[in-house]
Amino acid sequence: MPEFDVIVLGTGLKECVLSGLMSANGKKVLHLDSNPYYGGESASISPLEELYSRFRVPAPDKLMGRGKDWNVDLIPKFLLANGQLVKMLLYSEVTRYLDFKVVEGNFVYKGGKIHKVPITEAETQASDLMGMFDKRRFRKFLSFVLNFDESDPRTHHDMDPRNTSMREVFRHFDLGDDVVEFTGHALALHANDEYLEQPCLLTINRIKLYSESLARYSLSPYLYPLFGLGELPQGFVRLSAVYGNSFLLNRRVEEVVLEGGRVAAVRSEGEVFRCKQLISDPSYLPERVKKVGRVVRVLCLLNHPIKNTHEANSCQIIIPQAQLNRKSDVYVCLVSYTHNVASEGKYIACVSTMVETGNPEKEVQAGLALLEPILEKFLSVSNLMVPADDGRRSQIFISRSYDPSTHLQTDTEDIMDLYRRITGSEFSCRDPRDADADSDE
Amino acid sequence: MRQATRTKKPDVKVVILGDMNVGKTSLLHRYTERKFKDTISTVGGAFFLKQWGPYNISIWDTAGREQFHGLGSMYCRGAAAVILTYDVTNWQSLAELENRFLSLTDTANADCIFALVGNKADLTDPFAQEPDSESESDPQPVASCPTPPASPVQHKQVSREDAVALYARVLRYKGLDEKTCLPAERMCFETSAKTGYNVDALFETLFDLVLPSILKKRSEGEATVDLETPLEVRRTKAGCCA
Repeated sequence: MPEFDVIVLGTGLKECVLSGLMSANGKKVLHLDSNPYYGGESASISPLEELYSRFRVPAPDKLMGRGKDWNVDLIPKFLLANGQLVKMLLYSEVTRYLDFKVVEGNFVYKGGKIHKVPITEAETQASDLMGMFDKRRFRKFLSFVLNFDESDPRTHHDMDPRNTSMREVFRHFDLGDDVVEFTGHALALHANDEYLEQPCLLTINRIKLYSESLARYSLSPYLYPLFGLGELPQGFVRLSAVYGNSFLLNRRVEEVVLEGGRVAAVRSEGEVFRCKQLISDPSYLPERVKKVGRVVRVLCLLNHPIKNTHEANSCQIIIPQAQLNRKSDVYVCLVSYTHNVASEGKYIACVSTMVETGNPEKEVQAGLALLEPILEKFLSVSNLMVPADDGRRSQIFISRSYDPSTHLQTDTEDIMDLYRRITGSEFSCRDPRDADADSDE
Repeated sequence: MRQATRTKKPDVKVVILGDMNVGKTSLLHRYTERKFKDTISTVGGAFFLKQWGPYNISIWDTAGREQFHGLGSMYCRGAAAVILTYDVTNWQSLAELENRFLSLTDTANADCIFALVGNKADLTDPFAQEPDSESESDPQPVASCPTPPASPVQHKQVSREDAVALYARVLRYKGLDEKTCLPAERMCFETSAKTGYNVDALFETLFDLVLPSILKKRSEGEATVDLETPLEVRRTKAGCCA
C-alpha cells in the first residue's frame, strides 16, 4: 500500500501551487484528478470545439479561425504584478516555464461610462473620477497609505490599524463617496462594501499592493500568461514532477478513509493510497463544504476590443456594486489573440458577479452591454463553496471555489491561508532575487 | 530549495518525448556530461539551458512520474524541435510514439522540427559499441562489462526503414508537405547514450536547425515581461506581507 505525506485531489490552480510548494518542501506528494486534463475549474479549454461541447452549445458551421489557436479560460483572472502568487512563481522558478504580458488597461465604471483608473499624478489630476478638492485629499490619503508601516506607530496618524475601521480612515482624510467607491473597489479590490466596517489594515495593505504592482510595469498592475491561465497549474505540476512526485489524471476518487477522525488514505479505482494530509478542491468532498452563494459567468467571443478602452488588447473593468444598486461588484475582463488564447483578430471577454436574483443573466447585462456586438456567449452559474472547517483536526484542507473577481487577489489569500494551516508556518515572502531583500532585514 | 543562479530566458525550446526506459534522460545526460560545461540545470535535470553561440536553448526532459501520466499541453507548448525517442530493440516503444506521444505535439510550433531517435544502438550495431574517441574514459562500463560483447547480442526490432516510414506519417499528421520538410535521412538518428554514439550529432544538428526559428521569434518581438527584473522602486518593509 503506497504511502504519501500529502495527497492532493484536483489540479486547479490552488491545488497545483500547494502541491508544488509541498514537493519543494520535501514532502512526498500524490496528485489525482478525475479529469483527463490539468486545471479543473481553472483550466483553459482548447480547441474551440471543446468549448462548444462543454457548454452544450451547437457549434457554427464555420468556426472562428483554427480551433487549436484557442485557449479559453473557464475562469479568467489576472495576477497582481507584485502579489504573492508572482513571488511564489519566482521563488519556485516556475517562471521559466511561462511567459507573461502586462494587462493593457484598467477601468472602473461610473455613471454609465467607463473611466480609466488613474496611473500617474497627471492622470489623477485629469481624471473625472473625482473632483478638484478630492484630488488633493486623495493624494494625502495615498501618501499615508504608501508610508504606512504596521510596526511603526508614527506612520499610523493616531489610528490603531486593528481597531480603526476603513470608514473612519476615509473620514479622517475627508474623502467623498465617489473617491471611497473608486478606492475600495478598483484599488483595494473589495467585491462589496463590507470592508468599510472592518479594521483598516487589510484594505491599507491591499492598496499598497496595488500601488507596488502598478509601479512594476507602469501600464497596469496586472499580468496575464500567454496561452491562458491554464498554463499556471501546469507550471507548478512540472515543479512538483521535477521533485519526483506522482500524478494520476483521469482517476475516479471513490473514498477518503479516516481513522480516529483523521485522514488516513484515499481509495481510487480499487487502489488505496495512504497519507498524512489531504488537500482538495471542493468538488471531491461535497459533504465537507458549504454553499455560500452562486457565481454567474458569461464567456463572450468578440472580434473587436471594448469601446472606449483605447483599443486595449487586454483590460479589466470593475463595476462597483453601488453603480447598479447591487450587493456585489460586476467584473469584466478581456484578453485576445495577442496572448495566444484566440485566433487572429479575436477577443475573449468574461462578465461575472455573485448571483442575487432568479435571473442571473440580467444581473450581468450592464457588463454585456459594454461588449456588444458579441459573436458568441457561454453562460454558466456555479456554486461558491467554502470548507466547513479549518481542517486542523482532520488534516483535510479544502480550497474555496473561485469568486467572480477577475483578479487573483482573494484566491492568492486563500492559498496563503491554506499553506499556513497545512504547514503551520507562513509562506516566506522574501524573494531571493529581490534587490531590496537585504536592506529589509 | 536550492538557490539556482539566475539564468536568461531561453530563446528557443527543444523537448524530448518517448516511452519509459528508452533512455531519454540518459541521452540528455550523456550530452550534458561531456559538453555542458556551461550548462545550468534545474533540480532533477528536467530542464537544461544550453548556450549555443549567442543563443540560449532550453531542453525539456520529462521528470519523475510525469512520464507515466502527467504530460499536459504545456510540455510541448511553443517547442521549435521535438525529439521522438524509441528503443531500437523494442518495437512497442516506436508504436507508442504514434499512439501516445504524437498528439502531445499539437502545442508545438507550426514549423516545429521533428527528429526520430532510436536509442540503445550499441545493443544491435557493432559500430555503435565503441565509445566515441573524444569521450573521457568512463570506468563504469568496464566495471559492469569486463568482456565487451564481440558481436550484437540483441535482435534489432526497429529498422531504419521503420523509422523513416514513421517520420513520413508524423509529417502527414502535422499537415506538412514532405517535399518542403527536412528529409527523413537527415532527421532519423540511431544513438547509444551508453557509448555516446551519434549523441553529439543529434543535439548539434538540432541546435543548428532551430536557429532560423530563434531569429524569426526575435523579429516578431513578443512583448512579454521578465518577472525576475528586480523592483526599481523601493518598497516599505511591510509591503511584502499581505
